[in-house]
Amino acid sequence: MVNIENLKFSYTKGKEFLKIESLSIKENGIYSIVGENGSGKTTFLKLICKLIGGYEGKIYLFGKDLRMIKEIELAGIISYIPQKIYLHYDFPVYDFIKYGRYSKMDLFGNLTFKDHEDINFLMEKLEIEHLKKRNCFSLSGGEMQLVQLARSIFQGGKILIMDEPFSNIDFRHRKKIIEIIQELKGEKTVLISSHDLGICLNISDIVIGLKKGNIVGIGNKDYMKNELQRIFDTEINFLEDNGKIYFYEGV
Amino acid sequence: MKGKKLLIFLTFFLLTSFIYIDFKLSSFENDVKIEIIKLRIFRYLLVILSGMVLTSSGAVMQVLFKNPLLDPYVLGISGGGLFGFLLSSILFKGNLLISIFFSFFFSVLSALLSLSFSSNIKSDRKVSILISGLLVNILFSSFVILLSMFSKRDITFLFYALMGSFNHVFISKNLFLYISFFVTVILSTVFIIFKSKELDIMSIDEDIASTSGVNVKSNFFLILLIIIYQTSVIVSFVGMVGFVGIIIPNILRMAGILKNRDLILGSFLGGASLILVADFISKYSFSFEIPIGVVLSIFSLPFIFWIVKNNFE
Repeated sequence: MVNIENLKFSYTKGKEFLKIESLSIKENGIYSIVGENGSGKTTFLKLICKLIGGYEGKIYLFGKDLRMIKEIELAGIISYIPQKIYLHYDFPVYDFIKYGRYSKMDLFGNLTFKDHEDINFLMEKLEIEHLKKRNCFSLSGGEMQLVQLARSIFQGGKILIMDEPFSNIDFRHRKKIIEIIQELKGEKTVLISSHDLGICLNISDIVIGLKKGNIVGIGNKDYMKNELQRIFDTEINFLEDNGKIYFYEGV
Repeated sequence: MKGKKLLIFLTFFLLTSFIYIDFKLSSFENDVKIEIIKLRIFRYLLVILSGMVLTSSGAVMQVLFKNPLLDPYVLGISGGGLFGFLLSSILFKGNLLISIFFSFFFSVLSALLSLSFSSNIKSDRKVSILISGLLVNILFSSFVILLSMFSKRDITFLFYALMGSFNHVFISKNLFLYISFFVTVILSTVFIIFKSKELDIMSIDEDIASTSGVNVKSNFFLILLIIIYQTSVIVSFVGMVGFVGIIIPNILRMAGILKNRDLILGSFLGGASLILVADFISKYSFSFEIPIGVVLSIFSLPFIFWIVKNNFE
């Protein structure tokens, strides 16, 4: 459903930042992207969301060239959770989630009764219904991340892109987010970038390793666990137990 | 909840309106009374329209630039507009249509200047836009002073233009033109109310707005252009009036009115009330009329200091 051909992108002229010859992401499943800081993970995700333009090569979504897809159409395909959201003004939580379906709103910003039911159902499912009357400024990082997740699921679309969804999130909320992602796996393609190798390998169907803007390894958990050393240029220790992998720094 | 808060603003607005029109009316003779009421109502309409537009455009601009200290005055748009207006009134002897066109043209120019200045200042976005707005404002205010010296106008006119005043001869032969500009400004504010859902989502996060289906760039420039138009018309009528667009939206946000539609509606009521009070003070506090900007500045500076204190760590 996402096909990439000869993608090249640079922030400054003449200095290639990201180069992907070919990559194909199939329907339904969890894909995670690992790599050092500055390896191009965020850039790659933003390119797929059409947040950055000016690239060479082609990105196809469902066989359609990304350049030909309008924002409003793209909103029905992809939902995106940025690495960091910096709210300049406070905003009510309920409306924050509501705006996920901006593309389906009428002129006055109203949604249908069913849409509101969907929001309530999602908030209950994500265990955030107690935040309904609160404003975003009063939320903790973990709560805000769940609200964002609710917003993106509410938006719909077949692809969910999450840029470092686990950073600075406490244990309980992290667990909840992982649970939800695993539930979504059957109906969506979830694309995650993260530094948490344990989560990435254990929940993903495919792990993509990025190094200096190039894909240096791609495959399932069992293949990628031995490739990580090469991707990160350092010794990577892990334990295996019951089919799960646990990484540790070993210092 | 929000309705209740807006109701308080509405009550305040109605109260100030009543006092504004009714003040010391009984001391006049009956036949003079009608004339006085007529004059007052015309002035009243101009005052509330200015208040509504200046405040709502401040609120919207604060969302567009993600900076709670902005309004058309601070960004230098009013300065550019006033310069354009005076320039054309000298060149074309006061043709209102051409004057407002000039005012609009120079408002756009000053906005572009501010934007390009700020994009070249390597500092926090919030600070750099304020600095560049300040510079553009100084530039055009100086031009305004220069122009009015050339045209050998009365010096009080300069004060009224730079600090804003409703002390104009309003009922003129151009009444129809005035009213048509009124109508366009009102229509454009209605348009902005319809854009409040885009403003909401843009105020959350630009990347989220974009991936939710909002064309951020085109909405930004379209809304900015409309605000510039409104400002240039109001500046041509009453001169430069600042600060009201900063104070009221921030008070509304503090009161928990966060969605842009409510914020704009609240700005209409709050802005109109504040300008009414300020115009009332400027009219009756001394034997002569003082510019409304003077009243507003003196009373609002402590509040603005407080906003700065809370927003710039």
